[in-house]
Amino acid sequence: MNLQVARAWRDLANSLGSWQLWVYVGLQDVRLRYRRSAIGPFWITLSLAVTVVGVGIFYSGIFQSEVHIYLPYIAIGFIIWAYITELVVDGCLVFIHDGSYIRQLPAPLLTYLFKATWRAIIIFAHNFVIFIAVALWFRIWAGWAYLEALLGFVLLTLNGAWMALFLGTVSGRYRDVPPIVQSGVSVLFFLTPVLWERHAAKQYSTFVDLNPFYHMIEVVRAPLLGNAAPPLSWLVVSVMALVGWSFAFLFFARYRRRIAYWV
Amino acid sequence: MSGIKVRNASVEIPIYDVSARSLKKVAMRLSVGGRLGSDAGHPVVVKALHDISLDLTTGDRLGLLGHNGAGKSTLLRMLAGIYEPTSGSVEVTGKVASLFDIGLGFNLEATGYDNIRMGGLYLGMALREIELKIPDIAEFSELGEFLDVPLRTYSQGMLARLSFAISTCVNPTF
Repeated sequence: MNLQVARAWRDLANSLGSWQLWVYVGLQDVRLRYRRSAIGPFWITLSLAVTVVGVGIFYSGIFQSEVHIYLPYIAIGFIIWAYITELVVDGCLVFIHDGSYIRQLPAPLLTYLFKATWRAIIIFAHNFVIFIAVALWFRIWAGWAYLEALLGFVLLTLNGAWMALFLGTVSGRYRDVPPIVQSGVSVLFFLTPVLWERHAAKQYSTFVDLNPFYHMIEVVRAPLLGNAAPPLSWLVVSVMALVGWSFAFLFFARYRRRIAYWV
Repeated sequence: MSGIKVRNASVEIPIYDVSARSLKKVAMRLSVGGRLGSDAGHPVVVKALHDISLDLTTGDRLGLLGHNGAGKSTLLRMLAGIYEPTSGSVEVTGKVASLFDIGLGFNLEATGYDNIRMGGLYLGMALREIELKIPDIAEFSELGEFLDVPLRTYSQGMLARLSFAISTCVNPTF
């Protein structure tokens, strides 16, 4: 096992070393998906923008909240949720998708995880334009809290990445996992405060606090909206990043050599 | 000094058919006591390499002869570090350049030049190194202005030229 962990560390070091590979290929992935279309990757942004504006105005009526509070709230909520979905659901495919490469090239395996994570970040950046527009429209300015949001984003990404690493490894072996995760994530959407706010859950708010995805969203969303994220959320995402990465990394180390045989 | 040292290496490749791979089967196995033929516990294993030992040093040339399925490609994959041996060890000093699938890594929507860059990166080169090699690759492939258009416009022969030009531009240690 120690030998396997040492090899996994070398895999990690080599993957970080070949950053040019995943940065370039990740960019190409996004670019090629929209080759020959006039506005390119901004199609992702556009479809989300329509959802945000439509749902924002309509649901603020249903929930009887003020549009200038509710619309920015769901704008950033949707953007972060799309990011989590990209990380976790597509994360199941990190190794399966690039199976033909893994079986042919001795490139370190974490390269594929970094590529998928980087691709998710690029798409997030495209979507984030929506929030900038909304923030300008409603004159939201959070000042120094943007640094807090940045830290939150790093923690969010670290958490999404270990989930992708763990799920990607398991999915290589068990092909039922990706569809299970996909339906799980779509159910979670309704149980996580994206469309509704935590205080709306009333007696179920403890239930919301048990949802790790709520905390992952909150550490980015709250500072961006000019509020402070609850200390509990910071605690949960930090501990989860640490424990999650240790677990996922050891799991990966244990099965790393089998992945080329599985995919 | 480069070299390859293989000691008693074996490679066993598990074959998971659609049913053996599913979670349902694993869950069923937990709840049901009996084992049914090939659906039971262990997947079918192909013993592709059995107890291989060899030493190669600078200047050696090795040819592999064998019928289909003898394990030639598996041995090469093991030497390239793609398959780690299930038992025994492989020790490689130096850099390995491998060429298995000729069309690997091509993206048909990307241009010839973009594909050269991606192919080079996958083969372990740095972008700066690739840029230096692009003129050579372009000349070797004889594709000229076609390198500026997407690969989907290429003929099979042109694709073969390009992939060969990319694959052979890596400098392994001799």
